[in-house]
Amino acid sequence: MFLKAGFGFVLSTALLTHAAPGSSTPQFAADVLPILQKSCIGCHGPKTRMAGLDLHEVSLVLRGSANGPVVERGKSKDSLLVKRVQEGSMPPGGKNPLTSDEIAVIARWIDTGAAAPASDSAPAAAYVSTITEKDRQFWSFQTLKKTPIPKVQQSPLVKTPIDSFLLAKLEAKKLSYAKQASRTTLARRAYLDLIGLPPTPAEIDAFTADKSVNAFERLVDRLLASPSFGERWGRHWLDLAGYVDTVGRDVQSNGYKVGEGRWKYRDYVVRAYNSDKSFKSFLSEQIAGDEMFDWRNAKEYTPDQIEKLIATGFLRTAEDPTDNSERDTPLLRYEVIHQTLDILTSSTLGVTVGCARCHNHKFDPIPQRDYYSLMATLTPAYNPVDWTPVLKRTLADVPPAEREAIDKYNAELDKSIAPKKAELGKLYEKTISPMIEPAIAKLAPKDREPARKGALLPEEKRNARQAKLVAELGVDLSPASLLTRMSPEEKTTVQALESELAKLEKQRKSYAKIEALYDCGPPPETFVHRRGDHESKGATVAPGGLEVLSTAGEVLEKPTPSSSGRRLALADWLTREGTPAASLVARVYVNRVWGHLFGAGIVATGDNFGKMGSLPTHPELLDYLSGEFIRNGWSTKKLIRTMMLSRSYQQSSLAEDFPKNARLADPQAADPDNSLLWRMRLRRMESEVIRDCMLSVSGKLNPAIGGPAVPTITQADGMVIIDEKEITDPSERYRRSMYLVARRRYNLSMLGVFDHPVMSTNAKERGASAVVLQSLMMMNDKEVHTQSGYFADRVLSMANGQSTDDALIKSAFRLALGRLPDEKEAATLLGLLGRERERFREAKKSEADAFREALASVCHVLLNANEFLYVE
Amino acid sequence: MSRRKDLLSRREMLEMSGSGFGSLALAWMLNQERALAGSERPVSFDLTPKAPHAIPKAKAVIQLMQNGGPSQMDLVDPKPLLSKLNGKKHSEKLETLQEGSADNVLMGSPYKFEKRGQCGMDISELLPHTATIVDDITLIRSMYTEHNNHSEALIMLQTGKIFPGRPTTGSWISYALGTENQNLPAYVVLRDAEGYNTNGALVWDNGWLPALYRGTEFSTKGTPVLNLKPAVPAPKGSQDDQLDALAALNQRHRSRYPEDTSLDARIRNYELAARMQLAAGDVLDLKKESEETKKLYGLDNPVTANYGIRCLMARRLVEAGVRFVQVFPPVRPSIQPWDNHSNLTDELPKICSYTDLGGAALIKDLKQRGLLDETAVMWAGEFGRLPISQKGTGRDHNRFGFSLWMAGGGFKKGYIHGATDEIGYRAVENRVSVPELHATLFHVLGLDHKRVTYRHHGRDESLTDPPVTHAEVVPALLS
Repeated sequence: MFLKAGFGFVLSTALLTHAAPGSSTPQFAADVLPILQKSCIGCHGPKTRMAGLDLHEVSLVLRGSANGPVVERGKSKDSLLVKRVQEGSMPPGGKNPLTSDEIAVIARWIDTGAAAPASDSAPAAAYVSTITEKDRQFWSFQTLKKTPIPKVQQSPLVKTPIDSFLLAKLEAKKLSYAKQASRTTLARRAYLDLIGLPPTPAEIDAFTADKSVNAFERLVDRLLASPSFGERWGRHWLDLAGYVDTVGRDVQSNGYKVGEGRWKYRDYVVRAYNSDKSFKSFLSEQIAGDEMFDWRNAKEYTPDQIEKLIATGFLRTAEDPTDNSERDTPLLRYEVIHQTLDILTSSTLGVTVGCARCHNHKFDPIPQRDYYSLMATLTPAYNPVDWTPVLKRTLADVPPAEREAIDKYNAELDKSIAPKKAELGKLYEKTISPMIEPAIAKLAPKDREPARKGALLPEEKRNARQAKLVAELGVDLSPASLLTRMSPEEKTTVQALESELAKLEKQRKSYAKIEALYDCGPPPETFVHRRGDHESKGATVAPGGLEVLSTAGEVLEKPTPSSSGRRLALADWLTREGTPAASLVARVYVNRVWGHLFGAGIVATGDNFGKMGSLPTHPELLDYLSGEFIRNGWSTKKLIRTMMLSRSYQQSSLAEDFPKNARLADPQAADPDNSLLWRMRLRRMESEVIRDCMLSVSGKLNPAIGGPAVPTITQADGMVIIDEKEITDPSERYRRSMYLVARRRYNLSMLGVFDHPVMSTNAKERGASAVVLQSLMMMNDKEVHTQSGYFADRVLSMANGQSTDDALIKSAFRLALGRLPDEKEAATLLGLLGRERERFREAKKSEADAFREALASVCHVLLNANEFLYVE
Repeated sequence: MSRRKDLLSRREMLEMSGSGFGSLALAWMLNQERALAGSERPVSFDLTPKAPHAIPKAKAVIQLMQNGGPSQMDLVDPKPLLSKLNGKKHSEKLETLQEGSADNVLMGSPYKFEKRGQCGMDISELLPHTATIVDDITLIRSMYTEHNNHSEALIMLQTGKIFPGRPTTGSWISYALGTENQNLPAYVVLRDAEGYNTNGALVWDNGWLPALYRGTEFSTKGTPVLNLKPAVPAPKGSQDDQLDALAALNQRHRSRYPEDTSLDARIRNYELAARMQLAAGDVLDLKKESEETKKLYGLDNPVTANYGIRCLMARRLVEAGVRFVQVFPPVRPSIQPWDNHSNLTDELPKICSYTDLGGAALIKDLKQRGLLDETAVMWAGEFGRLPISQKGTGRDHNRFGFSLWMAGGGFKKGYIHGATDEIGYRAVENRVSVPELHATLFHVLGLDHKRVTYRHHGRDESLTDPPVTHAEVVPALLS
């Protein structure tokens, strides 16, 4: 059969090749393609695709150009392809023109149906897996291994099983741990790691005074219970989620759009960490919270259900530029899906799935098909052919029926409001017009209409340009001023209308918006994009996970009445205990938690657990911890606790604290990179922690949790600061950094210089650069200077007028760095204090002011100290 | 992490030096020694000078950004047939972005072109000053790009792709080559002090490259660099005293962690900050420029001074050893001043009069100081404009064909590359893609664009992404 068919094909091709033009049916590959190759494919081929047109395959010829189809099957006369070559406008410039015979061949091919070659139109061959047993044997793709806890010689150093695993490797190299860190260092380390704020001197004293054996355990438990814990650890997760407050393209310095309900997802994450929600539920809700109940038909939502809808904000963080119709193109829609896939896979699986977007992964067993199978779990929600614009992609905290009822009710209300508003507007206009017209006449013609419009609006409704123009008019348009210019009758009418309107406004009902992800309709067809090009359609795929982590033929779909259930199945696939996928998810998460506490992961490449990533330094430990994590109900707090209560976490970070002992090797020679953890790692703090610590030390930190973001503004000089005009309360400016509006770029300059991530997709890791802009910021910035002053005030008020200069220096030092200065340090700062006091006296400051400024100068130096930026 | 492999061997270098070449080669050799002394995979990133892969023609780049999409057929790409067909309906439906071009009516240029210079390059009457430097430039009339919206096309011009988030050309070059003057940033951005152009700071973003490769904004007003000077003035001697105390604290901390080099870098940064206060102030100080030079850049005329001062500063920065300088056009009347959708005959002459002089002055000034040969200057917008009229008075965006020019640093002089079709819609002859332009720019800097890579998320990323774009150097552009 096969032979026969093959023979037939060869025969017919041979016949056609020799056939004279004008006879029989032309074939694409043999007859048409060579003509196109000669004259057209240079510009309209796979490489350049001018006007989006690629003529090298039948399916692509039929798809046409960016401007529409070029071939009408059966109608060569109506086909642009033929028209263009006939009129000679193609190829342009008369290069390689087609002969009339050649044009005739193309025309006949079209008239006879523009058929594809047999191989092109044949149904896709059955998919043959390329995943081998060897692929599945790669360490990170296997289920968790249970290894017995190793026996070690230095058993007194073992506080938790972690120590057994670490010491076993250390002992093999004749190494051990460094000394236990001092109580002061340990307190500062625990505070910064768990809540991202430094301990006060009183808190350090309390810990130092606690002589019980479990003093550190109690400290850790107390910090884990602090509401600030969720902020610190929620921020780590928000990095992976790629959280931003803005919607649409966020590229201009100012004029960014803040999503109405975005912050609710941020607060959800904080709550989840504070309540120690199991990571399994946490992840599942974020991927498929909307599919866990029938949100479309529910009578009302329980708080837990609202929480589940908010959780899906996790998949709403990709930059969606389709808020602008010019950008609502298939290419950019797909880009939103690609980025969402990147966020989803990099945060959970730690493999570079994105490589399979264009081709089978070069190093890892991830066929291109897997990528599009994963995409198929998202397309019912992000439907590329029936796109929901980003601003409409919201749910309410009430069910759709109620939302509709409220909208209808409010629309009715608006009907009674509108005429009253119009009447009021007319009265104001009558008063305002004569006041402003003379000034308006003096403006440039193009400014007149906007100025007029702005003047008629209440002050708070004017945009920036209108506000500026109205200010230029120099007319007092305050309500009080307007009322004085009205006749008594007008005044009465205005006041009556205002009060009626206020009453009506009070009757308005409302609901809050949630920026959720939800299936928008039935699943569209999802197909492989050849070479990553969505216009080059390959085989259709079913929703699925990575094949190497799946059982044969596993399809991720659990339809419910209101949704495809694909994401729900995906969440289950990622977290079902005992599977390779859940094992990888647990490993990747545990490794990240370890990295946050120890300065580097057990797998150094936290975002790459594939073949090109690093191998774990302690694979047995990673599997042990991941297994324990799952057995403990995926509890993050328990995981952190286990790590921090190990002796390894509590050791000193100083090389000099490694025991000097003849039986032990020199650690700098045996393990210069400290990959085996013979001492704790020195870590530079993240951008937010640096700023939060500064505010905490100065006593100004506003500890409020959650809510809408604090707005920022980019000044003309490029400095991003808090937008004082837009904040409701002055103390807002001292909120924790995670509550400042999170943008893709243009984040607060203070944060930006300290490696605050540019959130193009998500932030898989933070940098810890040492660049000169950091020094300039800490030394010269106005805000740091101001905070140094508050810091000095705090030192002075704590001393209550009683202390010596020496005691003040010590107090400031402890506030900033947790410890007391040594003699040399104290002398250095005391010297500075004295000289600065002289200088400020000479600058004609009063005695008290000169002293305050001098102390502020010392405090400023402390905030600049390297030690302030590091967790030891 | 990083790959800076395949450097020329020292021996190859010395062999070449026997055949005699200039100071750039010598500097290259010295840097080469430095690069070889270091490790192949740096554990930390810095801005010390790095050796390129080959002997460079240029050691610095100045990008004159012309945001908005300069109208090629009214400036540098004359289309007589288009003028002849003025007012006629065009048969092919052209790709448009906005409303107002549905009539598809061709619009000839209202401006006269004349052959200028010894090379006889046709330049519009709107650019009388550019007309005086044509013998020093390579004019590319056959550029094309991939998106006809400003934001995407600008990102493309800077990063090689239309999506935000990748490193810009200046970041890549700073990463690959470091910089000569350690007291100044490697990559300096000069924008209008009044505000940002389209995409703001995105067009000098480091993407996922380390933050030190981001462009640093230098202001032509006030302090040149953010926080360069104390925001709150302190008595004389105060800050020095603070820095001394700080150095003492930091030295003590440092001595406890002898193996951590980033602590050293941090200590050095405070010293560098002090040096930068002087160096940056120096660069900004135009007192040392002669009246003649100031006049050359049009600083004596409010119309030309806004952009002219940035062109002059660009020269000073390059002279001081800065690797990459990006100059932006005025933000008035519009933040994308070349975007002439309507009133072209009012708006286009305006932006030409603001910028024509400064750009030409820069070329002349670099030339007379002997700097042009080692500085690659690029004049470019993000795309071109359409041959059909928009609402009768303007032109919409065009991604299929646009013009830009390159000068100095190994580019041909008085040369026109490529052509658009007879109405100026499509580049048809010797077409140049944006990645090809990037590859060629890297080439004159001695860099092989295929080898300047950075490992990101499991892939060796590069500016030109050759596995996908197949970009190659365009040898025809090079002298």
